[in-house]
Amino acid sequence: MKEKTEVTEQSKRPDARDLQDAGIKTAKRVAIALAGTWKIYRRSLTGMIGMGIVLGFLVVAVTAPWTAPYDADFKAPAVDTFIADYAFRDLPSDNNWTEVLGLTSSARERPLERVMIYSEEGKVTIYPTTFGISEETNEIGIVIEESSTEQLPAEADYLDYAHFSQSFFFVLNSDNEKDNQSATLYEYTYDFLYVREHEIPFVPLYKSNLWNGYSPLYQVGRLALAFADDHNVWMINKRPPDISESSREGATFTNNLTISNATIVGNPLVVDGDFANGSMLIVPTDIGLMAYDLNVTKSLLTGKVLNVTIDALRWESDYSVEGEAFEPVVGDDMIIFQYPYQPTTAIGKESVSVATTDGRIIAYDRLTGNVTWSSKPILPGIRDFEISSLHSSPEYLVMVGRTGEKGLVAGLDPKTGRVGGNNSLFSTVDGYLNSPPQYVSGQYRFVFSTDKGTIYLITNEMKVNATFSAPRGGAVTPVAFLGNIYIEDSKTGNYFGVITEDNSLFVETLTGVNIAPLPPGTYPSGNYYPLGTDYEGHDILTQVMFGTRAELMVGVTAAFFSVVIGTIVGLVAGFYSGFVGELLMRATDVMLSLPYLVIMLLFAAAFGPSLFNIIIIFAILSWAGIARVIRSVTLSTRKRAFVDAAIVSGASDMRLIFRHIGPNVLPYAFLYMTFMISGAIVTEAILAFLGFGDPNAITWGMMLQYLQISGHSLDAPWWLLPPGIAITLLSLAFYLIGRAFDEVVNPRLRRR
Amino acid sequence: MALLEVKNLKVHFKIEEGWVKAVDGISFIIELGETMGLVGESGCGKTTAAYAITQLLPPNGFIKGGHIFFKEPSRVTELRRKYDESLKGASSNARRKEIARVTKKLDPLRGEQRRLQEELGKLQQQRGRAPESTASPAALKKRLDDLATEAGGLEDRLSALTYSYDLLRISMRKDGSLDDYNEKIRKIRWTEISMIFQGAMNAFNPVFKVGDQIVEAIVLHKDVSDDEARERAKELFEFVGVGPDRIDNYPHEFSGGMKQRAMIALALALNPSFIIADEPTTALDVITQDRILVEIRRLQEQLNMAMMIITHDVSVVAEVSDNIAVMYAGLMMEVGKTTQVFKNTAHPYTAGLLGSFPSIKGKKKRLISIPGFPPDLVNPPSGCPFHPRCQYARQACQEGRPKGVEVEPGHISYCHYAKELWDELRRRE
Amino acid sequence: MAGMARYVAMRSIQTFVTLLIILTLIFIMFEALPARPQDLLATTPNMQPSQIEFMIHLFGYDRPVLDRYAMYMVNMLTFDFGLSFSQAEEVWDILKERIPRTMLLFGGATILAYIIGIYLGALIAWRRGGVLDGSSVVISLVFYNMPSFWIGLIFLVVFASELNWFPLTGWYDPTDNLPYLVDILWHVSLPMIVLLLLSLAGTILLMRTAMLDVIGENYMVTAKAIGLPERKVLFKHGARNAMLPVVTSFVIAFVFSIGGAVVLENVFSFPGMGALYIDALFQLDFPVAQATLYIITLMVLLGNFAADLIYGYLDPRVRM
Repeated sequence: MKEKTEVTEQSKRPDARDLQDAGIKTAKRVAIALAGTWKIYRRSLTGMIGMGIVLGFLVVAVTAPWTAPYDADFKAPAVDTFIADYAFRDLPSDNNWTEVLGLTSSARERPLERVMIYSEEGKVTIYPTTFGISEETNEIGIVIEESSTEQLPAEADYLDYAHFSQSFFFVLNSDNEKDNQSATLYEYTYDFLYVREHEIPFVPLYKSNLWNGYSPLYQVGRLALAFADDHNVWMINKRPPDISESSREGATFTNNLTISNATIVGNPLVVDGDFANGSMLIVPTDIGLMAYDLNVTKSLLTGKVLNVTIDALRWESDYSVEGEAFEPVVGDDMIIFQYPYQPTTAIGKESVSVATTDGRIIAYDRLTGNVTWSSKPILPGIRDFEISSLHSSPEYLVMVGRTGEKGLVAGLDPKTGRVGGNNSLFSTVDGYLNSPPQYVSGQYRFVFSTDKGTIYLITNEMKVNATFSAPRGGAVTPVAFLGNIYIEDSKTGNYFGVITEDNSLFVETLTGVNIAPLPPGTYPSGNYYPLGTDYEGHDILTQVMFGTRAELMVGVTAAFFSVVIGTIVGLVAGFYSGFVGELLMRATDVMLSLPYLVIMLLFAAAFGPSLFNIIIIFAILSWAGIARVIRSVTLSTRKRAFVDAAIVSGASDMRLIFRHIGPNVLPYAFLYMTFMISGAIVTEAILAFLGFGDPNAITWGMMLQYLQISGHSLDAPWWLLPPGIAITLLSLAFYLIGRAFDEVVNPRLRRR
Repeated sequence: MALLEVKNLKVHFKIEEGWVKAVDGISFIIELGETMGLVGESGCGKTTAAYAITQLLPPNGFIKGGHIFFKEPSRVTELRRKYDESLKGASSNARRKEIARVTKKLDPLRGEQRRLQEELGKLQQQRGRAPESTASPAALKKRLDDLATEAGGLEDRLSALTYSYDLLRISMRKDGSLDDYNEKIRKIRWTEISMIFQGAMNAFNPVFKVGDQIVEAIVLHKDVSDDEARERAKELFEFVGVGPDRIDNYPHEFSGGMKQRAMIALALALNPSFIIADEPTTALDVITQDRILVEIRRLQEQLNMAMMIITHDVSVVAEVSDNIAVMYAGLMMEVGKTTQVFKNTAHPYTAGLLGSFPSIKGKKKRLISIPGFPPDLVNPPSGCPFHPRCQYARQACQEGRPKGVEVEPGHISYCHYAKELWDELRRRE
Repeated sequence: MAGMARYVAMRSIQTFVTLLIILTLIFIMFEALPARPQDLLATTPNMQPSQIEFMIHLFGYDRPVLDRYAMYMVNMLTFDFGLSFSQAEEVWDILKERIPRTMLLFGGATILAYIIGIYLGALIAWRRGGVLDGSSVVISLVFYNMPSFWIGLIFLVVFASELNWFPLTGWYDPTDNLPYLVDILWHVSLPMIVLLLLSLAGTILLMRTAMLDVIGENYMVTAKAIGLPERKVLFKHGARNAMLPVVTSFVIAFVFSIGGAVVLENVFSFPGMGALYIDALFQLDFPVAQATLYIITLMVLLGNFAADLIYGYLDPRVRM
């Protein structure tokens, strides 16, 4: 039986030539019909205008990446959007300036008096800073004065500085011409008034972080530095100068320590260099951490520190947790150990943490060396990451790492080592961090820079708060935190500095005012924003241009699906005009009396904001009007003779519906699709505006939503107008096309 | 007296492609109480002519010339014709001069009239006292009457000169469009000229009761109460053969025939002197058609109204009209008494038209249809518009537009060869 | 008149059935949502399991679907909406003072839009082809395609912020020193004008098209021919008929207008049902959202019912 059918079908099947002829015929017929349609359509001026506008938007949508003034995710640089105090200084071009020296975390309250930069050639330049009328801004602000450049006595391979009543800096010269067996640590004041040399009996492989306990109250500090090679540690402690004696240098105490049973693998760490009992030296070795007490001898009479020595090994702890052994992470100049706590007592930090090569972080009790916790941080959505360093902040243990091409910062709970805020306190940034996240205490934010030259300000919740790219080509050095200027009632505060691409020193305060949304115009960066920017610095014109893509996509797709549903319902209801048709029409009536926008909001709220959801929701809720029209067209088409002829010739229902009635219904479907597109565009905008839009898409509705939630709806007309005009224009254009096409489909309407 | 004289009427429609010369210079006369049938194929301009007379043209219709004299007294008509004859070919100045001359004569007469009237008034007030004036009231009255006659004659002349009975003079704007809602025209509408519309099916507003619509028309023009108007509407319903209780029904509750009768009742509501019936029977079935025609004839006999029946159906005209006017492509082809046109056809087009309609009463004949199609009225053929389809067409037919030829008294054919063909056409009968 | 009574009865029944269907749809919609209300009840982590169980029981989520459906239908029809998730208050207490506000805004704007729109639409169609026609069609088209919130924002900027003619937000401000009702009208006018303009655009366009259809009708020629003055031909005969399709479109206009009201309430911080609805959706406060949606739908249905009655009055043909 089955075979038989197939045979007959085959015998019926027209040969290729017939098919080709039929194809040509159909094509011709379609072409003629289209030409006829066009002839009538052309007469409608409004229709032509509508079509022109739609084509214009289409061109914009397609060419946006090339024609838009900026990239889709472009943000105006901070120089434009941020009113902040800043200053530039062009640097001598004969040196390769590689670093701006920043403050250590324990000395951040220090006022900014000078900026010190350092070149590859071993040259140091110090620029004193004052507060006055800035050349760049012509306003009161920081001024970088002429430099006092000094050539260092020897080529330095380590540089750091400390603050006492006078600031000191240290230069390590390990390229000792004499014997290659020792190194020299030079100690200078900023004004080079005093120099002291310390011999280190080996060439250091590892350099300690500078522990610089600066007290803003007394303008004095205490200092500890440690250097190590494979088996030796050399430490220098510096006592605060005696104010009454007006001595500049204070006393220095140096110590030697040799570890013979293990190899040192990283920077030795001075934990709490305060001259009190409980200060420690922690040395990472290949077999474990070794913690030594520091023994401080004080004068019973005056309380003055008389001597500091490295005492006995307090504890020794390996990296294994529950029997597993790991290697510690050893970064180039990254810090491996940190103390996660601000001191709660005079004795200070409670634990010492270390990161291991497999991404685990182990915390040891500071006094006993017992493991208090070990943790593998969980970052949702990020499977593979490496830890580069750990840092401290008042609240968290800050973990810096990398995943793929991106840098990573996360705030870990110091009690558990887990990522805080239910694994939400982390951010990824473009490029790897090239400076530790430095806590800006007054602002509860961190500042750091990446190897792509961007400076990030992140919140205490580890979310990106602002990004800056330094002007004049962007930063080429890690950002350095320089200190504060305390002047009442001015835009001053925490200053940072970088060296920029075109070899200038750029110093700016982080305590600026965001002045975006920017009105149209040209801004300090040289950028021209033809329609201004939004509050995040996005160029409005760029956003409008890129928004066209989503709008067209949403409009056309949503309308298409809604028309497909409506056409099918209408065809079926019109064709089976009995019970089924009646039922479908009742359903259509109910759909029509539903407040669809209100229900769309419900679905959008429940299913989550995405363009796809909006399209589906729109299609499901707005087919009713079309179904009605298609049904009446179907009813009238069914009465026509050719349908009767088809029925008589035994065509199946499906064939009748899709082959005979369908083509007659199509113009109406197309007609209502144009109307639906304009409806969908406006609906998307409304949903987005009310907060149910897709936050990942650039749409005109989202632009206006941001306008509303950022509270600028009353004062940023350059931001309010363009997206609205664009929505109106595009929606109107499709509507006009519909009207003009309506005249083609319903000749009755012509010449009105 | 002629009730209606249409003279050289031209009505053109403005469309995208240009001007449709729907009516391009037609003339005819309808006497009081007479019925005229206006016949022609659809699209020949007959309805346009009717709408021009009633001033119901759509906004794109423009009068491009001609006159519609309505209820012009015969003496004015005579004077007008005389003047037209004498001023023919003269410049428009001549007419203006003539008007000035008549006005100059008329003005002192009017002044005198006023003065005498005042005097007469004074005299009447002073009645009972000693007469101061020598003139007696009787003499004054006599003088006034004479003056009135003299002035009346002059006024007639003025009317004739200025075409003051021309409906178009009242409402036509400079560009030829009509002031649709001109007060004077509105007064004439329905009280003087009413219309039975083509497609009476939709002539009633579907949301109002039929009776109310008739009442609306009566109350609009007559100072009567709604109740009185209702009574009148009932009478009218009875008169046209619809139950008077149906006046409270809505149009959709009426059958086609009833609607047509109600339409006739509406047309008769204010006893107009002239009714235009535009295809009054087209949409009806044959039996109802016949009944309505009988009705129309009866009414016309009873009420002695003049009528113009517009139809493409020659048999209708044959049944009810006294005269026939045949139109083709916006032009008159033949005008005459019904019998004249039917029996002594003097135009090839009429012959064709008659040939294409079956006659119920006459002898059985072969139906002959006219070959070809009606012309495009945007670019009508030169000369006689019928020449492309006319089997008798000659060179002259393509050139000049034919003038009316009176082949027998009151029977005019607009054919270059009317006289020659008249015999031939009659022979064919 | 019997025809009219039967017509009203039929329409009432039809409206009620539609209401039942829509109520069922709302129930199904809320059942189908991926966010389960019972999950939302346990918002604080400290909640004891017994407390959560009690809450679930309180809101009836432990019963079978059909039971809940029956309970829901009875509750909705008796306006017993239960407790809000986010505020410890009866939903009805939250809703009841907001309903008249939205009714005033949406009802006022819709009715005015219809009256003015029908009048203007008829007039524009009557003077078709002229400057008035062209410009008003263009303006209407533009307004028709404008997103409601945007034009609302622009009006807010221009008339409230810049010109200070209207207050920026709210419903009533005792510091205005105006009589209560006047102050309310002053507050409601700006959103109402915007909503009015938006609804007006559609009505004008619709009425114009309908009127153009009517102008060609024979009875219009009749009306003119019997000597009626222009005003009567236009309004008594023309507009009266042209209104019919416009009244038929009431339901679409109502739906459009209520959507506009919801959006504009949010733009103008107008404490009506629309603002409440959006808040409820953000907090996933299901009882409030459900009740608000129901009341809004009911308003649309009642408006539609009124439109049906008007249609029945206007067009004798449907009363058969």
